Amino acid sequence: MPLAWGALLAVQAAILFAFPSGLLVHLLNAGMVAAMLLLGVALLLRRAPREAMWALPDASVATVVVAAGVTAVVLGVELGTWLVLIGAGWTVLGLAGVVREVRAARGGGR
Amino acid sequence: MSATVVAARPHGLLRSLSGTDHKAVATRVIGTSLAFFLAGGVMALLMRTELAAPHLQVVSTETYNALFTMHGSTMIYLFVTPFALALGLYFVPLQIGAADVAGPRVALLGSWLYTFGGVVMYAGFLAKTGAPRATWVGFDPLASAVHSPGRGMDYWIFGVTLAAAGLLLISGCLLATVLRRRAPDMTLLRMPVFTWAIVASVLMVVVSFPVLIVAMALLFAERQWGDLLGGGVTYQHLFWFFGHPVVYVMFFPFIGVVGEVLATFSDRRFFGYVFFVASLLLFASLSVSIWGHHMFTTDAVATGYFSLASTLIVVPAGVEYFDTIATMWGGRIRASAAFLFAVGFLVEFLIGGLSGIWVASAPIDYHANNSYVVVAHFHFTLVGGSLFGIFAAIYYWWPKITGWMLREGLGRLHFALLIVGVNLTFLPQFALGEEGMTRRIADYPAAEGWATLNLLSTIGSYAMGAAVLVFLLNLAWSWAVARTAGDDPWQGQTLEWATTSPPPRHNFDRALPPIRSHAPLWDLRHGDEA
Repeated sequence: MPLAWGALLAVQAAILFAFPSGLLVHLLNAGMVAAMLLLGVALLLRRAPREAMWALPDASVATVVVAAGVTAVVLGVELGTWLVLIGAGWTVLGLAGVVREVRAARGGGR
Repeated sequence: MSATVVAARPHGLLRSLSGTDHKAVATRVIGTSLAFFLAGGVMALLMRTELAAPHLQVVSTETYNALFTMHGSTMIYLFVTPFALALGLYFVPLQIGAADVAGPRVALLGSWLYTFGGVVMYAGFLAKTGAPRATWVGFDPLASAVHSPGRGMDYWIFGVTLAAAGLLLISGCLLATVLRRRAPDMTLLRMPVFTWAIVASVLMVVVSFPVLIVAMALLFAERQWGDLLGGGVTYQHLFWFFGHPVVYVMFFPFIGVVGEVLATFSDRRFFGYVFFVASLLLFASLSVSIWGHHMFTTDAVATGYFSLASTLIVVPAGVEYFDTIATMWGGRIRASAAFLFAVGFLVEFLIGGLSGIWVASAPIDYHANNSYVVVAHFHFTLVGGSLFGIFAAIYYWWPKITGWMLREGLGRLHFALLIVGVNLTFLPQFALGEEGMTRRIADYPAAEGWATLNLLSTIGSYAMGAAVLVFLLNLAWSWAVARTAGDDPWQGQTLEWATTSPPPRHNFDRALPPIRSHAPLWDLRHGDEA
């Protein structure tokens, strides 16, 4: 489906060449077409069998910590390096927590 | 498809805030977006009060500029778009027979980035220089450090970036869910119309939201280090590449809702399903290709191409209208609140859509651009369209989400007030724009003769406010004196009605009904007629 939609976008992008347009317009169109075609090809190549059973995490505090960490890093760009460092620390901690959750789920759910 | 839940340790509030059940995540995003809607609505009422008569000075010019910037930003980045995607996050897994969304942690991360982004954006009100005043677009160089000094503008940039990143993650999860988590018999062409509408929406999000994030990064960098964008036109290309598709991200899910609601309350299968799906994908492909029509007056775009492609939108839109109206034709209509809002959507969005064809013509746009004609156009599509679609979705799916019913009588009163309010607010604005009233002005000369139409528009906005109050009353009353909904109060057609209200953790605790079309429950009920 992404491939088909990407092909439709490609047709429209091609039609634009018949009109005088700047480089940025063509680049934006080309990027969009490329992204869709890449996604479509990736999905075709990675035709993983549908799992009959998979493990669902019930809650993930670590993920919320990652979100807070990323927000703090972004805000820290404005408010100071101290906040960037705090945010980076939370993000790393949060990601470590997510990895732990995934490993626990793989051990317990399958 | 089945799944096993891995038990988690957190309890109580921590569990509520970190739960990965797609329904819990979606409900939280919906609740947050509705809170932002109320805030944005108050800002709108303040603006309309200022414009009720000339020289009122209810708020200063600077405050007015901040109000229209934050009103637009709230409604687009923090209310309608998140609400639409959250509706998909709740119902797409149910409609396709999946036990959960693909990548539930990613969806959870996205929900919190959106929430934090909203808080950061609103932090601008606390900044020394106040909230930003560069419009919801953040036009460069108006948004530059010279013309928008101070942290308020920076917080706006951060807020937009975080919210957009969050919504992009949620959209990725939805796309992966549709492609990888459908029930065994649920082929792509058996997915319900709402799910297809969400698919078309997330395709647009995936393509356009990354460009917004790049635009925000470049805008921030320019505020720190000087001219990097090479002028305002470059920024406009990057921004509108996102800014046009996002208005369809705010519309498509609700045409999907309207399709479901009209089919259910007409007791008919959706008419022209395959053509509808094809039109959604064609509509989406056109929508990501026509951003230049926001830039006709810059004289820096191929007006012929963008005008032609923008006008072509009428083809898939027409197919969708024809299909939704034909769905009702000859049906046994039940005029529930959800049905009324769905019909209201069709009427109000039609006004907005037809006026869009008008401004899609470059020569007409040269006159209409930056006037109240444009304001009326997009408010009819977004308020008349998306807002009516939102309320149709709420009245339709509230029983499924909560397990209790909203009051139909209050729902009809809500509808009546809203339809009067929307038309009284925005129809006069077409005339105001035609008479030359520019948008984004805090005051106007009495000699222009715009006072009467502005007063009518303001009265209409108060009627809209009253409609929202009736809605809130309906929520409170229905919660206080709850009436149980049951699994399927409406005789729905799609799989979410085949499970309990609210659904269990893994969505279905009984075998799915046979899936032979996009309306499995309708097929089950009508047997030989299907």
